[in-house]
Amino acid sequence: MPASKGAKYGFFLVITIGVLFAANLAFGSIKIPLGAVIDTLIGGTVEKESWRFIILESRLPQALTALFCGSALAVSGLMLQTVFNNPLAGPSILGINTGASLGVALVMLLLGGSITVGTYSFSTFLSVLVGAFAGAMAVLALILFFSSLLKSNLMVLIIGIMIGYVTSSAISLLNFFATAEGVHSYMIWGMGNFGGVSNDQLPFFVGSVAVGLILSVLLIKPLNALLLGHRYAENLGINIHKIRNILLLTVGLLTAVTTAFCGPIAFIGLAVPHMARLMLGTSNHNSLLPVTLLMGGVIALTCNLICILPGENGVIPLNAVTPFIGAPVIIYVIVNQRKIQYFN
Amino acid sequence: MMARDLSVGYHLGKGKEKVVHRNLSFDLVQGELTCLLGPNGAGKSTLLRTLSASQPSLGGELLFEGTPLENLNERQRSKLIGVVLTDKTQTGGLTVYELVALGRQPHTGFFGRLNAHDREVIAEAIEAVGISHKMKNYMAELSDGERQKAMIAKALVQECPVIILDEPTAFLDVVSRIEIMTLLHEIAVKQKRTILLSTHDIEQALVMADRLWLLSRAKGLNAGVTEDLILNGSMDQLFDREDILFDNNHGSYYPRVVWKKQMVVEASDTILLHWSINALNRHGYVCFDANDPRGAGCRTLHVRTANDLFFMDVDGTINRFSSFEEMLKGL
Repeated sequence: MPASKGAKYGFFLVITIGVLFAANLAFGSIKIPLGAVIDTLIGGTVEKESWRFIILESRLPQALTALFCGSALAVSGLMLQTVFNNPLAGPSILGINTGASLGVALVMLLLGGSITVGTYSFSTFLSVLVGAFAGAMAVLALILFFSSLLKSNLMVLIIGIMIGYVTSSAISLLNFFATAEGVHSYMIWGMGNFGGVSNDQLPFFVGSVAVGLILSVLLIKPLNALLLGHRYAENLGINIHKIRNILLLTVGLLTAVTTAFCGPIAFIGLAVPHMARLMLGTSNHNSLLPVTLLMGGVIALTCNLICILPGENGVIPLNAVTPFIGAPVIIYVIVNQRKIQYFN
Repeated sequence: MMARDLSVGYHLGKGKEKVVHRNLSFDLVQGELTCLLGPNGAGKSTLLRTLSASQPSLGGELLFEGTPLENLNERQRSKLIGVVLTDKTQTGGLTVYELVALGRQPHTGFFGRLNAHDREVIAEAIEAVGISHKMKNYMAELSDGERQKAMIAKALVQECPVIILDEPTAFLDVVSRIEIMTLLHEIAVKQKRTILLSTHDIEQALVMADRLWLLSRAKGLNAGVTEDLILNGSMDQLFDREDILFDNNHGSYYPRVVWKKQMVVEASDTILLHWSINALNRHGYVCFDANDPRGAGCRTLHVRTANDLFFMDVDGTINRFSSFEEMLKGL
């Protein structure tokens, strides 16, 4: 029965996460022996103090960020695909990622890296954060507004795409008029990076993502009803507007936080739900949502590992790796459409 | 459930409305199967959507046991009215059991957990519609008829006193159509529910419906027991076409013959008579019986059995045939 299949896969995924997490701690641009890694974690003495610093202050937060970021994006993608009845929906499609990027672009290119509001002045990184939040939330507010006007899910999706285009062109404009350094910083940010969260920012990051993930778990029952379409779902007692708004708010929170801290990350939100569906064979969110959540973590940790593979030779940018995992999955799904049951 | 002076239609924005029907008053009777019939564009779907609270009415009252429907919230309504529609769904990846279980949502708690009673109701409904053998299959693997039965089972487990179906037998073959109509009638009577469905399958509707609602743009809603409406000529007036007639005897519509040729027909029983006339009408012949003066001077077709037919012309010439195929070739 599907439920126990979900539990089985869930268990397997948790083990995989554990293994990948450990691997993310053990490997990096600086070679650190495995023994030292273990010593650091259990609080013992380490040969070089710098190793302890790297593991605890760099690799550990990076692995945690990857884990939570992957889960956040994957779950967001799943919720969007269900509510918009569109297998190609994802956080970037609604323009929320682009909105966050616009906020970041405004801060980096226009405001020169800092914002002063009243008596508060934000430092560079914090300004980027605030910019991303503001941008994502602004686009989200627009989507919410249109969602309350339109009953059709497809129309809301198209509006999201249009908003994405408009914000993209605003970003291009800002880049056009910016300095070379500004464009360069923005470009680097745009490549995606799990290493951007320091240990003091970590609680806030993990906390926000956790809130979003808990909200999504609470939406499992209405998500299943939405598989029937909005008329049947209404007949089952679901308030479509309320549920859609809560869902979009949750997605907005998750994508704004991840984009703000890690940059716009492509493909995880789009491909992981499909991977989960292919693995489980079911559209039932009771097992699909938790498995998607865990799978997102697995994929993100895997991508992070690939990024640090060159070791001493450097780091591959994240957004160069994710399409290699995500795009083949999508192409596979599209080509095998007829054989895949959740498409019919 | 009943309505008084109900108006149904659409809001077109800017305060304008498109009224499809006004001043409708009706009673949906409990324990009966009611069929809504009418031409395309008569407003059947609009009426059904208004009754299932999927669309607001434009005026008048719509009451369930005395309470106006609009005063109830969606949670309350979900326990009163169940629907079966023709909407496309994303449920291919759900098993039949999981899909039917969705119908229990109005009765279950936060995560949709099923208790023993829920499971019992689900199993019973799947059994009642006759797809127990497919319970663990995915919806994507089912035929159209089986999928429709699953949707009906889902409406059943909602345990609503009223079930509204919009063309439930639309794409099904005659066997499935009869199975589903019989099932719905049984549910209405045995479980004392109120079932209303719209259909274009007039043949089955006249057989299985306890009550008919005839809806047309010109004449609004004409409701009554099936046989009363057939025998008082209401079926003739349902479709406003001079060239389409209703056969009171056989309960079906047929096209008026364009008067090209005439023939007198005599047959040894009513079945042979009916089908001989059917064949001749198709070939443009208007048929009269032997005593009809309008048939004077015409050829007569005598049908003794299906394999023994002959033409007799006015001058006495006889042509014999041993099947309808031969006779029609000899016209």
